[in-house]
Amino acid sequence: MLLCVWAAVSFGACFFARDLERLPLPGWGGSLGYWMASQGAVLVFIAIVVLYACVLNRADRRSAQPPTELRVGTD
Amino acid sequence: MPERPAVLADPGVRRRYERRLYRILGLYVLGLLGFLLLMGWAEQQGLSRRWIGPIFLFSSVMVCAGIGIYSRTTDAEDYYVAGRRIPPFFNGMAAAADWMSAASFISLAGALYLQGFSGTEGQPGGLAYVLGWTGGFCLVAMLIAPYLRRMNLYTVPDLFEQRFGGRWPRVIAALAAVVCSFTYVVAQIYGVGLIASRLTGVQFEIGIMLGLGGVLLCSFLGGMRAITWTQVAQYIIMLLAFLIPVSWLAYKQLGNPLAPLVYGRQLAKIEALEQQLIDSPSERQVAAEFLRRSREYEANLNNVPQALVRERQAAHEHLRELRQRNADVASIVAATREVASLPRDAAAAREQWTRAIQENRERAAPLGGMPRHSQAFAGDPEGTPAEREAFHLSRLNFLALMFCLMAGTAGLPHLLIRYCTTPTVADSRTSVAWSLVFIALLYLSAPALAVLVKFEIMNNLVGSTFGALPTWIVQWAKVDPSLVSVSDVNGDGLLQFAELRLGADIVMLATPELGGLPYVLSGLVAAGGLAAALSTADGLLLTISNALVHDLHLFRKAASKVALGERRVILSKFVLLAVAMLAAFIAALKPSEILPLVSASFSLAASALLPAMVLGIFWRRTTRQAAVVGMLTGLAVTVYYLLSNSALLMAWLGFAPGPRLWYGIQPVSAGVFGVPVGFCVICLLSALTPRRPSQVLEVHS
Repeated sequence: MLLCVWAAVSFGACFFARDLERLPLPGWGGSLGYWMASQGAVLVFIAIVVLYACVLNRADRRSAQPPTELRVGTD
Repeated sequence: MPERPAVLADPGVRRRYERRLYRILGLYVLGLLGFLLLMGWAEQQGLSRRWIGPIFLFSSVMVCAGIGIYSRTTDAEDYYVAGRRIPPFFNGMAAAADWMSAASFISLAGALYLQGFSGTEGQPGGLAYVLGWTGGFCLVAMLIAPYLRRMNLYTVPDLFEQRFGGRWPRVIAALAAVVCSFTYVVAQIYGVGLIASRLTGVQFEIGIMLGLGGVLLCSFLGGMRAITWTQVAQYIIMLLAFLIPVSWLAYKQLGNPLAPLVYGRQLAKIEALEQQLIDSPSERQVAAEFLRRSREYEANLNNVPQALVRERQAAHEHLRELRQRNADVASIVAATREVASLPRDAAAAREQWTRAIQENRERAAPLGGMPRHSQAFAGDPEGTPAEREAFHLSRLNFLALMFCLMAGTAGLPHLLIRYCTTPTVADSRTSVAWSLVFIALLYLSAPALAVLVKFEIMNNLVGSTFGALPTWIVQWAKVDPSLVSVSDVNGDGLLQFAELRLGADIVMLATPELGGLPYVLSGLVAAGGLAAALSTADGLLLTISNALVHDLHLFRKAASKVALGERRVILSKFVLLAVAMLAAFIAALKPSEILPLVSASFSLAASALLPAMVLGIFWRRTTRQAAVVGMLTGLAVTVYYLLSNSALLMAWLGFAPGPRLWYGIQPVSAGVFGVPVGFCVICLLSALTPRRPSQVLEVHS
C-alpha cells in the first residue's frame, strides 16, 4: 500500500509534471509541479518511511516477541 | 554468533549508553562551532588565506584519524558490523554521510543549476537526482533493511548464501558488490584530490594521497566501528558546510535564512530574467558567434588532414610571431600550450572537432544551452512533432534515471550493510527513517541553493565588465579551466550569460565567494566536500575488502564459520590497503567522465543484486539456480547496454560509431532494462526448477 503511494508520488507526479506546472502553489511562489518534484515528493518519502517504521515496530512490540531473538530458519 | 546486543537489551543500560553518546555529539557540535568562530576571528586578525585551507584540510583529516585510532579493533563483530550496537539516530546519521558522496555534496547543486528541472533529452538529470537518491530509501525501508538485520549478516553477499545456499550466489553477489563499489570509490577519491589540491595548492596526485591517508587511518584500524563514528562526525561537518552558505545567501536575497521555504519567490524572478536574457540582443550576438565557430569546425571536418595541417601552421606561425616581437612570457606560454594541445593525428582531430561542434552548438542555444530552470522536460507536448518527440524522450529519460537511482539505492551494499549495525530489527527501521530525514535536510536545500546561485549570477554578475570580475572566477579558472571559463566572445567588454561557463562541480565550492561570505566559509565548504567524499570512500572501501576477503575467501575454507576472527580481520585490513592504492592510482589517471561512472555503478548494483534480494526475501519459491541465472542475465543486459553505447569501446572494436539506444533511453539508465529482466528470469526459472525444501528460509516473523 505504501509502495503505491511511493510510486504515485515519484513516477506519477513526474509524469504529469508539465501539467502540474500550470497550477500555482500559494504561499511559496513557484509552481506546484516544481515544488512537488523538489520538496513535496521528498517529504512524502519521509512520511512513508516514518509511518512504516512506527506501524511495524508497534506490531513487533505487540507480538511480545523481542525481535532480536527471531533467528533465520536454517543455518 | 556472539549476541552482543544482549548487553543493550536492558533498557537502563541502553538509556545510559545513548545519553552518553548524545552528550559526546553535543560537545562535538559545540567544538566545531567554536573552531569556526575561532577561525573567523583569526581571519579578521589577518590570518592569511594560504593558511586557512590547509588548516581545514588537516583538521578534518585528523578528526577521522583520531576517531580511527580511538576505536581500533581486531574483533570481527566490531570490525564488520560495529558490534551491532549503534543506536538508530546515530546510525541514520552515519548512513546519511555514507550515502551522500562527493557527487551529492559537490555536484548536486551544480547539476541542478545547469540542468534545471529535468536536463535535456540527451542528458537527463536535475531533480531526478534528488528524487532518485531519496525515494530509494522507501524501497530500502520496506523491502530490504529490516530483513537484512534480522538475518544477522556481516556482509550483503552473506544474505545470498544464507538464503540460497551454495557458493555461486554468494560469489556472484560479492563480485557484483566489488564492481559497483569500485567504480564508485574511484569517483570519490577523484573528488578528494580535487578539493585537497584546491585547499592546499598542492598537486592533484599529492592531494589524493593526503586524503587517502585519513581514510586509511580510520578504516584500517577500526573497521565499521571507527567508520560509523567518523561518519557521524563528518555528517555534522557536511550539514554545517551546506546549510550555512545556503542560509546566508537566502538571507541576503530574501531576508529569511530558511532557504527551502522561501526560494519559490526567486523562481518566478528567474523566469522573468531568463526571458529577458533570451530576448537580449547582446546574448544573441554571443550565440551567433558560437554558431559561427561550430560552422568553422564543421568545415574542418570535411577535409580533416588538410585542415589539421592548416591549423598547425597557423599555431606555429602565431608562436613564431610572438617570439619575434618579444611578447610577454605569459602569452608565449599560452601559445606554446595551444600548439601542444593540437590533435596529433586525423582521428584525434576528428574526435576533438566533433566535440567542439557539439559544445559550440550547445552554447549557441538560448541561455547557453541550459534549459529554463523551472520548466519540466524539454520540448513541448503541444508543439511540432519534433518538439513532441523531445518532450516524450526527455520525460522518459527522466523517469528512467529516477528509477535506476532508486533501485540502485536499494542495491548498493555499502549502504545496506549500515542497517545491520543497529541493536534490533525495529531499530533498523527507525534508522532508515532517520537517515532519510538527515539526507533530506541537505537535499531540500540543494535545489534552493541552485536557484539562489542562478539568481545571483543572472541578476548581479551578468552585465559587469570584464575588468571587475570577482577574483574567485580567476582563481578557479586557474585550478581547472573546465570548472569555470569566461571569455569575451562578442568583444563588448561586458559579461554575457552565455559567455560564462560553469562546471557542475564548481557551483557549491564557489558559493561562499559568490555570495561574498568570509573566506573561512569557503574552507568549511571544502572541508564538507572532503568529508562527504571521505565518508563514502570509507564505507565503500570496507565493503570491497570485506567482499573480497569475507565472501570470496570463504568458499576456499569451506562452510565453516569458525574461521571468523582475528586472522580474517587482519587479512581484510591488508586487502583494504591494496584496494585503496589501486583506486587512488586509477583516480590519479583522471578518468574523464565521473558522473556517468557513478550512475553506471547504480545501474549495475540495481540489476545484479536487487531482483535476487527482493525475490529471495519475499518469495519462498525462489530457487538457487533461478537466482544465479537471474543475477547474471540482469548484469549482462546492463553491461551490454552500457558498453554498446560507449563510443570509445565501439570505435576500438571497429563498429560504426553512433548510439544504439533502445526506446531512446540514455545509457546512464541502463538498469531500467537490467532490473526487469532480472525479475522476469528469476520468476520464470523458479517456477520451472524443482523446489528444494532445505533452501527455504523463514525470513518473515
